[in-house]
Amino acid sequence: MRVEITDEYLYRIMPKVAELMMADIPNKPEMPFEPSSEFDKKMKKLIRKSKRPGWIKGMNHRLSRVACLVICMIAAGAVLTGTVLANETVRMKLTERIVMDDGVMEYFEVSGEGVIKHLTYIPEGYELIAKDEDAGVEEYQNSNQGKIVYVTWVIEDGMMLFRDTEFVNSKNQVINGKDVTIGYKGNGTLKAQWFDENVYYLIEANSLNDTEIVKMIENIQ
Amino acid sequence: MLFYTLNLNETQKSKFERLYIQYRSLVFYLAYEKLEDEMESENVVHDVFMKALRCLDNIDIEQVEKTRAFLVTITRNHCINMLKKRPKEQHISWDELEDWQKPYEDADLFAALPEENQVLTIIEHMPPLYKEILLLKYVNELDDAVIASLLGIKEESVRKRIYRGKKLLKKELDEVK
Repeated sequence: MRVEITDEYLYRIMPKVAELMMADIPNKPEMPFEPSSEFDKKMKKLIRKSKRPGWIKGMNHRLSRVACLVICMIAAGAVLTGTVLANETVRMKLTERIVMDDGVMEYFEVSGEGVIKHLTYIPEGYELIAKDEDAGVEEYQNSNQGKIVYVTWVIEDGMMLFRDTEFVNSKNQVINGKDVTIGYKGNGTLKAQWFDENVYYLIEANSLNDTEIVKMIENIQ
Repeated sequence: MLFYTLNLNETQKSKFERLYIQYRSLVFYLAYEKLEDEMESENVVHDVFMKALRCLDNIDIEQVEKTRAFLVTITRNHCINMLKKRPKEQHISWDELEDWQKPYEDADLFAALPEENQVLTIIEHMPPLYKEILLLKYVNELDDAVIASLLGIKEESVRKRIYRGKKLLKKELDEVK
């Protein structure tokens, strides 16, 4: 063969190779992708990062130091004057919802900041095995490989949240004044999710019944 | 809280977000096909999009075929790297990566194909080690430095692989009578 392997030739021929390669790959794979909550959190962080201009990324570290200083000054001021500033009322509005095959992607407008609430009731036999405060994830496990994952994500203004809505069986229940969705996945996993101020809560368990989950939610403080 | 639905307004999304929404299932599918493990495949999805984020300026999301080719190449490369790290019985060797599978069984039949088809078939059967770099270089038009960062290798290694890939391709083509 008398083909010269030059850059020009490769720029011309390689896109055709790519085309052939793509022909074997389905446009829309049939395999469902059901991301875990930890994965969702990681991707959400990445998406948030992608929205920040470069200079903000560099400023983050310095800003966190300034924020610490400001918080210390406010705290000192409150102690000195004997007054505590009341929290601004949290307002959160869903601005957009994209219904996808495996859940919904939601965008929010948020003003103010809510307070993360914590579990005070853990079902018997379960122990905390992992906690990532930055990611807002706590993991509990019992001796029978039963797992509970407790997720708390603070929704920030303009942020996207992906929520699983694909349940075999689900119900909505008002607990502590909040509308909680409790549902079973096809593999038997039980999920409870709700919003409280601008915080999204999720409890995921592989071997709990909904009575125990409700008890956990009732005791969140 | 007020919940309502709006139509998808693409301009409001970041480029990265659009990329992720559009291609995450594809990346997961490709990863699962190679690794046959959901957790590992999920990690691949995260890592691949993290790599994509690093060279987002080089991705034109409107060019669907190029974007798909880019993600497929990066995903397959990442999976190979993960397979290399697996225990010995599942290990993939360098020899396998370098191994050039003959794209034809009957040389005479192959020689009768139009020249361009011969070239395409040969490149298609190139070892991934070289093919993926040629794809990133000549389809996605990425700089050697960007390719190096994506594949986690030195820039010098990128240049060497391009050189060796071209040399091997030439050798293979010369053998076709």
